[in-house]
Amino acid sequence: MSNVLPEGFADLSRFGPKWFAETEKKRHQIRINSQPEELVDLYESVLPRFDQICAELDQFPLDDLPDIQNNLLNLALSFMEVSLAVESFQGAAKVPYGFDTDRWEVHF
Amino acid sequence: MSAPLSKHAINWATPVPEMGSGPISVEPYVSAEFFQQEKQKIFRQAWIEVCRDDMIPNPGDYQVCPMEVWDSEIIVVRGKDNQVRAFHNVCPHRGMKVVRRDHDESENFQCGHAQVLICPFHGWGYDLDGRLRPVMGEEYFDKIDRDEVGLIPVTLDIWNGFVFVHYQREPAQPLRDFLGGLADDMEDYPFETFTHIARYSARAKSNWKASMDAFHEAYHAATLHGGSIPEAARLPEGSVPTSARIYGPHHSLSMWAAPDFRPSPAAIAAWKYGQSFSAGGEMKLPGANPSNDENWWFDINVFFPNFFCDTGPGWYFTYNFRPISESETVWMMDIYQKKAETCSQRIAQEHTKVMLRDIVYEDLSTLEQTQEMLASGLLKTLNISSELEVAVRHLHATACEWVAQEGTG
Repeated sequence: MSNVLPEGFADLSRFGPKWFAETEKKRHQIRINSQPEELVDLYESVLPRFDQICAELDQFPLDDLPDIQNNLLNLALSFMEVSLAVESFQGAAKVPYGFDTDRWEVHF
Repeated sequence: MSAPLSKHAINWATPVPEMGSGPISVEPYVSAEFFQQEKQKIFRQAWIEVCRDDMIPNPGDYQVCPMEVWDSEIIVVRGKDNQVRAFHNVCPHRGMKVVRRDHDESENFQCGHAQVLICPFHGWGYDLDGRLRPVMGEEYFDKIDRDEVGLIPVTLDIWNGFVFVHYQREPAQPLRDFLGGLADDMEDYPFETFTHIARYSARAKSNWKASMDAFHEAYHAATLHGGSIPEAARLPEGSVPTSARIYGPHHSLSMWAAPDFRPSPAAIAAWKYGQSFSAGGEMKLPGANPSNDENWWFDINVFFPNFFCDTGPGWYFTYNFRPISESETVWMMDIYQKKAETCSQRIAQEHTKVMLRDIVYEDLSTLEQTQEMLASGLLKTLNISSELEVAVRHLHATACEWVAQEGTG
């Protein structure tokens, strides 16, 4: 997994490869082991670029994305992964007072 | 603090059975003896949902489902004739599990593919219809009668892709009769057009009914979900179902979506390109919103004893609650959505998952703390609302009614 992103998105490449993880299972583990300021940084950096990201990715078929576009897709999925943490939980990586993450299985 | 809750009329779309009034007894949530009765009189007398048939799409695909309430485990497998069957996961040779679990396999998602199911102990093999194949060293055995010796079949039937099993060889009621009016309401929902996008599970030290009770009332939303969905606290009317339906042991509630719901920036982004769990869906699907409520959000549909199938505008999700003991339950959630055709739809889909998942972290957080205190014996009864928590009363009353039945133990 490289940290290369499509042209026009080089400023977001600093989030790779950590936030380019392929599965929700991995992205969720990364989120709950991150610091609030990292989550806020990711959220605030991706949100204003969201429409541009969708426009770039929708030029390609979902099931046959080139690698660098795939990185961008995974970055956008990571944005969604952290969205409630930032919007509702003041950046807390784990849901405050939520069920124990160690006993909660995200299957894929 | 939540705003005051003004009185809204609930549309009672079906007759409401006599379920008593006033506080409900704590005993069914904590009693080991009551749980033993439930195992016999509920879980061996009702149809139990275990998986969807499209999770095993091809001949030879199988899924292993623990059935602690039967003191067993079953294999659900699609045969070469495309028929889905279920068997107890036990080899009649020496009792070993025919499909075993490796270290990295989850007990809540163990599936595979096989042409022949082969017991890993001595290699006895079974065709996908359960019939024993030639045994290695069979000449050393007394005659093996293949009409008697094979995988033990489990009664199985399918409704709308949902696989249900029954402990009895000949259940008193066929599946469709058991599912009754709730399945009538949901019959035309296009389940088969959805794809499975997420599965979560957790084992909680909580009674199965108390666990379910965290998910079939909205009264808690304004308080417990005040953090994850601040709009729920701003608009506490969402704590009142818009309509309620009771069909025999099953029930269904419709949830209210505030017309002036203010989605978060990520939810707005999701709705622009696809679907989110947050209120605001325009999609009208058959089999949902059966009472034609205005400002409909989604339906909470609960099939007794332990299966939820909540249907929304463009997504649905299920919960299975597997009782382990009177004070332990495995909870499993599966989320389904219309298949994403584009990358942007795929990104929107992630919002549904993450939002549901983070909200449900809050729901599950109450289970063990509640059970611990229920088990203390301090409370003999719970003080529930007959309207807002009608589903809590109905599940409690139904479990007590089935346990009180004579002659089914």
